[in-house]
Amino acid sequence: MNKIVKTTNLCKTFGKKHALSDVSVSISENSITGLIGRNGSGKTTLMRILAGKLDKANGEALVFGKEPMDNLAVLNKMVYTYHNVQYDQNLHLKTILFGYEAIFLNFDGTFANKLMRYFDLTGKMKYKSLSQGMASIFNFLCALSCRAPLTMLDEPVLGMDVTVRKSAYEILLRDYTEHPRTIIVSSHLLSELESILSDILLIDNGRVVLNNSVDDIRQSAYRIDGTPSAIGGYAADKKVIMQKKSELSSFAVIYEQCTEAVIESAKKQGLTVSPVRPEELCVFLTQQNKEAELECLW
Amino acid sequence: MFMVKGEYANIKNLLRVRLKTNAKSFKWILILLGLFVFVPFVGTIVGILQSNHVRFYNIGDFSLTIFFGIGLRYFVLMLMYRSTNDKLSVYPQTNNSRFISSLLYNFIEVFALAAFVLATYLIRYIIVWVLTLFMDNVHFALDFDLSFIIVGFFVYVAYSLLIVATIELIGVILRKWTYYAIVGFTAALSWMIANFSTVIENLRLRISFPSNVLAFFIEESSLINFFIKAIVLLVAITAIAVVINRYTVYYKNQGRSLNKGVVLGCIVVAIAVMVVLPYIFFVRPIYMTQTTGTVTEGAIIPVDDFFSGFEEIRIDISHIPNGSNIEVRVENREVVAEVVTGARFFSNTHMNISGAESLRNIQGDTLIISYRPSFFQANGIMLADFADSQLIANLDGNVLFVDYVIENVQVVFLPIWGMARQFDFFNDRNIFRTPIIGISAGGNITPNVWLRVE
Repeated sequence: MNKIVKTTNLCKTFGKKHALSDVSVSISENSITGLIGRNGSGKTTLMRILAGKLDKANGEALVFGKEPMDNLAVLNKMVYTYHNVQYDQNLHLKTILFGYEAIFLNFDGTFANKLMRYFDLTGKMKYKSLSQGMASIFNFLCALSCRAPLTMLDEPVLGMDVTVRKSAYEILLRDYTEHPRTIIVSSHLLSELESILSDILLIDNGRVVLNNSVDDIRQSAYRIDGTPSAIGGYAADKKVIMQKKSELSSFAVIYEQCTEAVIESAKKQGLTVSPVRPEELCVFLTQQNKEAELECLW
Repeated sequence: MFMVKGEYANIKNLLRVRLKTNAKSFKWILILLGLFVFVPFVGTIVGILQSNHVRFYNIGDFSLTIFFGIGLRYFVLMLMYRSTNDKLSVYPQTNNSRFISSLLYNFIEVFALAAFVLATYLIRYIIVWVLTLFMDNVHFALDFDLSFIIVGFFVYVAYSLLIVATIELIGVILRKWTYYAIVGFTAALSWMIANFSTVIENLRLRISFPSNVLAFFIEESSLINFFIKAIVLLVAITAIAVVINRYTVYYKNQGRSLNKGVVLGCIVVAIAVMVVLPYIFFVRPIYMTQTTGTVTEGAIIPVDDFFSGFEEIRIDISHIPNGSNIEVRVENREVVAEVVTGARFFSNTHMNISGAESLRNIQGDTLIISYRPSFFQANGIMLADFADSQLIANLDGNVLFVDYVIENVQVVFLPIWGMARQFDFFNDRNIFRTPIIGISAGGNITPNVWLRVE
């Protein structure tokens, strides 16, 4: 499969802060990739570099095989939007749509207008009059209507209520089915996104933690429940990414492919094996142990 | 040379978007400017219709106001280049297409502003012209000259585009070499201020560079040479700005805090553009007028030929014994004229009498009063030319009362393209305010009323 995005040892610093450190990832053509990470993990920085809107410090970032910054051949094939795009606040939505229609070659104005009606938006509304959720909807529908070969949506559902979010995901998936293209969606709400994603790219503190297909990720870890001693014995030679021990319940999350042999082996030691959802895995891989600090708050 | 494949189309599309998205705000700018022009103008019209004495209406050169406005607006836009363009950042663009589309948009706006200035002039002119059809005493101080209106428009556009292009070049330099640019512009500003003090000392003195550079334009008297210079310089400045911008990383400071150096540099350049340059551009010798009536003692006794162009009043003084004195009084008048708007130099006294000493110890039977039209003027315009001024003289006992009688005229001073006066092409036309002959700086006025006894 063609790689639409490929970065090699990509670095970006803001002053002394390392926003991205040696990020090497690739994103396949016609995939829907979830760019997942905590706040400040580097998701937006990565997307902005890929969109040619931020200069990198080191490494390589190729989109459609070329550097994106100031490269119209690349930029004309992509759209990058985010929840709070800085349009002129006094513009009517129809004027903003005019801009999209004028510049994006594949922009489907009819589809955009249908989506406007679906989400109860009208062209006469001013951008500044939109709530955060409505602004997110508007930016989402604009980006989707561009039908760009690479569509990058940065926190597209921020501020949307749960009903609208579900509609948005459904529309995204349906439109992707009708017009396959490469879509990158950044979010920290993986649970809702999970069902539409084909790949997940998890970054934390500017480093890539996980970059794989959702199916592979579902198989990449499992949870064992049992007594502390049984868990300790089983997990001694394995990569444990989360462990909790108590008198009532103890468990551990093992970062290893969950095969039949693994399940048999765990059962023999009196442990219960259960799958780990991708969202849980992301949480376990990125959370920092702050329980002690939490207790100090009171 | 300046563009890669697809950039031309991208510039065109970005320009379309800029025109569409800025249309509303620009429309409001024009509406506000229109109010700024036409609300006072309504007052002028009401004044003309209702006035029962001499009035001078200085409507002012709106083109100069807008010219300074253009300088200010595009300087501010230059400072806001990033935030302005961020509003379009969702659309695909390159550093080059972003800058060129922005530059072209500014040029189009300047052209539209010049057209707006012209339109406001023509509308006001037509309204006053209609009034002149019904009111004989309404006059234009300046003539309507179609060739001047058209050529002046392009001169104005050329000056405006040069100012905008220069500001854009400054902006590009600031973005490319921020710290070096700040140092450079600060040094240039200091040097200009040092030279500027010389300008203040002598208004006519043109100091070397940079005023010589400016003189290259503002003292060019040939229209053709001016347009050649303007086009060449405009292309050169624009090309330099585009090339520098091409090698500037637009997103290099993204995510960093506000660059204080840039802010400082902008302030320095702002001072240069808003304070110093206008002075260098527009400082002109000021023609002074005397503000009080005077009776000049000991003036040179005129010879007969001198009075050939003078009107004359003869008064029989045979009943006054030789050796007596006649006292001269310029009658105390009420205000005979008002300047409605924008008056800088105005005098309601319009007489300077010479030869009063000849009325002491008189030897003769006839008092001859020779006179020319009064000095009745406002803003450098001789209102007396329109007012058909006539001298009246009454001898009451041995007191001579003299005064001018002035027709009730309404003179409308409606100038445009004030910066186009440098060209020979417009010489000898009544389209600019011209200095009053005979009145020199320092307050001395050549007498216009001469008294003698024969």
